[in-house]
Amino acid sequence: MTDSSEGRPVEILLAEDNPGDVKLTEKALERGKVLNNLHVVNDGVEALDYLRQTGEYADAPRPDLLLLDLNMPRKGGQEVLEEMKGDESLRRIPVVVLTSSEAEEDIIESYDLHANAYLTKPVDFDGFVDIVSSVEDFFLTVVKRPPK
Amino acid sequence: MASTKDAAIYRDVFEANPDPIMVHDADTGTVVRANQAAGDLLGCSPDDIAGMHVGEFSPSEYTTADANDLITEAATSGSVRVEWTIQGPDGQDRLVEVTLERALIDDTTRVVAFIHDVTAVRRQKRKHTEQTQQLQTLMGNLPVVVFTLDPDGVFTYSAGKGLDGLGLEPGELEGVSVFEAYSEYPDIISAVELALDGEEVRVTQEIDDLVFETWYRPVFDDDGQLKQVVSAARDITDLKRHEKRVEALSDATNELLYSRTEAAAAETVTRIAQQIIDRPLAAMWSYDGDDDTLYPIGATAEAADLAGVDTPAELSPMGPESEEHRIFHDGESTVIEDYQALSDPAAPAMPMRTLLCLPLDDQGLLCIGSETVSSFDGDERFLLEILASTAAAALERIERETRLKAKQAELERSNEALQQFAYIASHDLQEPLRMVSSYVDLLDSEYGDDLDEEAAEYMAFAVDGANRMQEMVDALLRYSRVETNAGEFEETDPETVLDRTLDALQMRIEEVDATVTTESLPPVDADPNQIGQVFQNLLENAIEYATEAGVDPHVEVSAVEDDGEVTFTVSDNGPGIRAADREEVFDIFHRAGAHDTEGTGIGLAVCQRIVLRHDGRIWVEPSDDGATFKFTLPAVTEVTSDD
Repeated sequence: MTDSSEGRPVEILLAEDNPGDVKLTEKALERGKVLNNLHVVNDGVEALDYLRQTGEYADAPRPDLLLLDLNMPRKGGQEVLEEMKGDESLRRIPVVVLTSSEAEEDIIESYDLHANAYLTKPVDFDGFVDIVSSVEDFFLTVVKRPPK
Repeated sequence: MASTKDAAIYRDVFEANPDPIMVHDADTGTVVRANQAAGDLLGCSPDDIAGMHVGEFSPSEYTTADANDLITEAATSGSVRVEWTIQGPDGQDRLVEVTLERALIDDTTRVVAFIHDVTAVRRQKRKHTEQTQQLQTLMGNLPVVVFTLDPDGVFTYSAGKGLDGLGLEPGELEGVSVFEAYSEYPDIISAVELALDGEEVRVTQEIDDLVFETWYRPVFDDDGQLKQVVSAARDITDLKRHEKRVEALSDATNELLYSRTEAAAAETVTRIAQQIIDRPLAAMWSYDGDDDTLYPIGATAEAADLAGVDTPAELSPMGPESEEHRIFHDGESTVIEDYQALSDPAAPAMPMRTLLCLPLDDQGLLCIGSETVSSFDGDERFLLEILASTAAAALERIERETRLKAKQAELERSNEALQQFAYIASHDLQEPLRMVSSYVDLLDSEYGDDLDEEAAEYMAFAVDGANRMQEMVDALLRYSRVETNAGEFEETDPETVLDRTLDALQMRIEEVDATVTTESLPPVDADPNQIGQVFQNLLENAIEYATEAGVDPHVEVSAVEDDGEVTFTVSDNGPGIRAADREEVFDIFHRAGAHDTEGTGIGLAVCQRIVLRHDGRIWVEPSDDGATFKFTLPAVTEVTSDD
């Protein structure tokens, strides 16, 4: 009962300003089991534009999952979370906060804003692949997502 | 005509009368007859007196002629009363009161002298007068006021030198009611009212600038009715002033104990100096050895006014060329009799005259002066010198504390900066480090098969370097979190904590065949997680270094409680620590022993930070075999419950 079995690729939005991490995520998803379309935005403002399908994102597909970095220019991940959770149409999109911050207050605040998971980026690529695939497993195959 | 019987009675009365009686011939004045008492007065028999003239038993200045004149006068007028002096048998003059009466005895006109010896009475009276005069003199010179009041509170007597201070003459108050004269002194009125009610009162009373200690004693007549109130008041103004000075000095000492700044100490010292001696000008200087100059740190408002400055700091400094500066270096308190006559005063413009300069050890100088030429008495100088030595001690303490505080603040700043640095470094280093290790990984996984052996070796070095750096960054983060992620202090049982630590290390302990022996450990007031970390780091170190040295690790943990703290000992049978390294082992990233030992060298630095956070100490005990670490933690304070 997975999306891949349904034949539609999973739409994943990655909000990440570090091109190195973007590439790593792409690579990790390539090795994953799930057929996906990865969309990348580089800051919080773009992320919300994408989610609200404004401007150049008018035709962007609604993501099944948001991978959200906390430290981004213009608008940080926590503000994005805040605005999403205040928005009826966006609040049900699962969000995984994916960051290198281990600061306790960041973690607590993210959960307070109803992030669905908080994952620290592992230091090596294999760890990264593991994380991404467990996210895939958990949110895209195990958890029954809310209907679109 | 008198009967024979009457004559006999008269004779008896005459003979037995206790006062001397002499009968004189009215014409010649010679004694015709005298009684026994007259004989006693002159020291002879009454018969011997008969035929004598008055002058014969009187001192030379009292002549018979004078006496005869009186006798004649009495014979004419009938009665004369005089005072006369008679020489007694012992050669002493007797003062007598003589009443001469004309009498007709046996048809002959006689003059009878009734003599009354008043010598004793007069002497008594004179003595009384002398005593009274002495008392008056004494009263007039004693620093007291003595007075009496009648039952209505009207002064009936007032004397004593103490009156001078009140601007009163002795006796001036007599006839005046105390209730009118002292209506504005309720203390006096209420004391008088009590005394008039029959109570004895002893009070200290203030009259304008003077202080009196006054007694009121009611005096009663035989019927128990109040006759008067007798009162004495002692002027204790000087005594009180001395008491107040000593009290002010004691206050100053207390205040100076807690002064935080030179300015605060100077404020106290100048204010108290002013109080102690009633001279308005007082200022204090602090010595700066760098330029050999005394700088002002405080002054009374009057002194600042006189110098024409708003704050004491604006007073002129005292350079090496001034008299005050010389006195400071001499170290002896010195009176400058007339400041205006000095050739090199520090403040020539100050219209000061007499100035007392008191050096405050090597800390500064206290100057007290007046605008008039006036001396300082012994009491004043004595008290001021005590004040000066207290001030010197206070300045020294303040200087020490200020240095200490500055050092402490610097230490805190650098500690905070270090912590900030450690946190930022570890946090911000994560990101690029992750890039390095992830892409080396990715490179390896995607192109590993294409690399030759040498390239693979390069890759391995890169991976190893990245990993070690990662460990150090993690260690730094742990180190910085000793403060930022600290838990509350609570009553902690170190045995439970140690058991948990041993559980965590169980695998490693079994692996290297290590033994850990523990003794009973007293409870401590600490953050249990952090104490667990200390145990873990010390045990890990002990086990690793011993294993590295090729022995089966044996670690002993013990603790003793003494004087509010528990001292823990963790000793091992490893290679020990070189004397030169005993302090450095606690430095961050310091590695004792061989460099291939696992770990980052942060363990002991973290232990030290944790122990310091608990106000404890950690050190390496000198030891010939193995390493012995000791650290202290606060003991659990015994609280006895009231319930």
